[in-house]
Amino acid sequence: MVDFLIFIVFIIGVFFIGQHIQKKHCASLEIREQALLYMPTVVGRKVFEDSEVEKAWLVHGAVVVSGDYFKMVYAGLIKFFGGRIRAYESLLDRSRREALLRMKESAAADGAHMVVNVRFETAKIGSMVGNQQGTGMFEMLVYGTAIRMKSQ
Amino acid sequence: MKFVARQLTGNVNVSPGGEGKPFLKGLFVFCALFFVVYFVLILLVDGLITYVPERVDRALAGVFAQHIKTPSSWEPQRERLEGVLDGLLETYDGPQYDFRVDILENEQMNALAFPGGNIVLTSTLVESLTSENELAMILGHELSHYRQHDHLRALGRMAVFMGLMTVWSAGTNSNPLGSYVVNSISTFDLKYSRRQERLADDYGLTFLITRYQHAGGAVGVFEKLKKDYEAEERIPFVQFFSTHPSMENRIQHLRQLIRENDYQERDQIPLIFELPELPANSDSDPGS
Amino acid sequence: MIVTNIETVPGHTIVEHYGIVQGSTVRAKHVGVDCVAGCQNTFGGELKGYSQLLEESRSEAVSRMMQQAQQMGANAIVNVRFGTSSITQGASELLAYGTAVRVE
Repeated sequence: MVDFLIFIVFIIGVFFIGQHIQKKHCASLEIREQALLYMPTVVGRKVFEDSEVEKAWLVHGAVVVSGDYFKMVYAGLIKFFGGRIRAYESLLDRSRREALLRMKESAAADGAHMVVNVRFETAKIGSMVGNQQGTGMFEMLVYGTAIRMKSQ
Repeated sequence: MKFVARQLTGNVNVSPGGEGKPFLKGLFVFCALFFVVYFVLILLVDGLITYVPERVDRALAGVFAQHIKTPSSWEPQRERLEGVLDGLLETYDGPQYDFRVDILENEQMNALAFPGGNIVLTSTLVESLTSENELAMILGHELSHYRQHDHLRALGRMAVFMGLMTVWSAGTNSNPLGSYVVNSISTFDLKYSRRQERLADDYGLTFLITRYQHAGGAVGVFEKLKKDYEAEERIPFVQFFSTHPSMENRIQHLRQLIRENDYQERDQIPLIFELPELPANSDSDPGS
Repeated sequence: MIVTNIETVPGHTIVEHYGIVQGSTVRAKHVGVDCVAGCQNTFGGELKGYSQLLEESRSEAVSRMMQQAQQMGANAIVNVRFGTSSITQGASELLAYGTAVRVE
């Protein structure tokens, strides 16, 4: 019973820490996304602008994130009844946005005007607790071709 | 064709609503469901146990049988214990096992009934006995456990539990939540065992009356146990003890039984055990 | 909303583009489906429960992507790609992404 109480307190603690991290991250994402909103990113290969291309190079952004114990237990519980696992939806979504942003930031730092042929990759790279499922570790990779136009 | 920057508001990729509330709700429903299924199955198993044929019962007990070995220097005392047990077995009408009494070196007063007919008394308990009647009460109590198929019930409960855990872990791939549900269930289980203990007390008294025609020693031995329980903390057997109803309640219950049935309390047959000290190093492993 | 997985929308011209839109969801089926799938896994064959799970998730991911495009004022999404990744046993993430455009 004592074990159970410790576990509950631990989970509640993890929950609030996780919520805090998420809030902070979302706030930072919004500011940085706003700053890079001017840069076109497209999934296709076509360069949508009419001017001549000066340079093209590969850019990527990656981030490795981990779930936490609250998310793991939450997922275990939802899996019993079925449905959307919101805890992981928000984690994966904001890490994907982070990876996309890192790619755009690295492209912008080298003077790119746009990024074309963007691709998303998600890889589960391991787990936390031995060979059990654990809390999950994921790598989000976003890559594409940065394009720099000749200045008119 | 030109690029137009558009800011998104809100996030459609995250389901609406918080995480805390659905989590608590899910946890509550899950626990409730688990307990209900568990207790329904337990009741079912308990009801069915009465219909288990004796042959199956003995075969099962054989599989889970455990033998505690008495240190060889205590063999004469062990044989005297067995003599008293043989006397009680004359009136025993439960499933037949190869009954055997053993002494386990331990500082706590305790008696246990292992599957397969192995009754184990701790050395402290054996040394504290002053009469044959007291011993008969203890042995009668343990014999009643066999008579009530309590070991089968325990096995049944374990089987139900393992079954549920298997289903649960097959579905969710060993979720840590499961192990915590396990822990909380074992506490709920105590009440159930207490009823068995009380029944065993009742039968133990009946054994005593049939053998000696009076109830002397029945209450005495429980008072000794009670004193021992209150004396000190005991860590290794804590869980076992907590399954017994409080000693005070049991003593009162026995007194009431004796009063209601007008049992006499006459002189007891003195019987004192002196266990020779064991050599310090021959710490014979009880093999539990 | 027109959705294609090629560069253009045939028969239309793209007039404006708004950048990447994406939709994703993480879903799981209840424990009964997991158990049945676990048994079927031994003998092989189609896991109907999980087929349905991924189908549902995929359409949800697409509809979320469309919602983003709608917010931007787009009327088509070109170059749509799908991605699937496993989160834990029996739960998977479905991702759909593409370029939001306005066609005429």
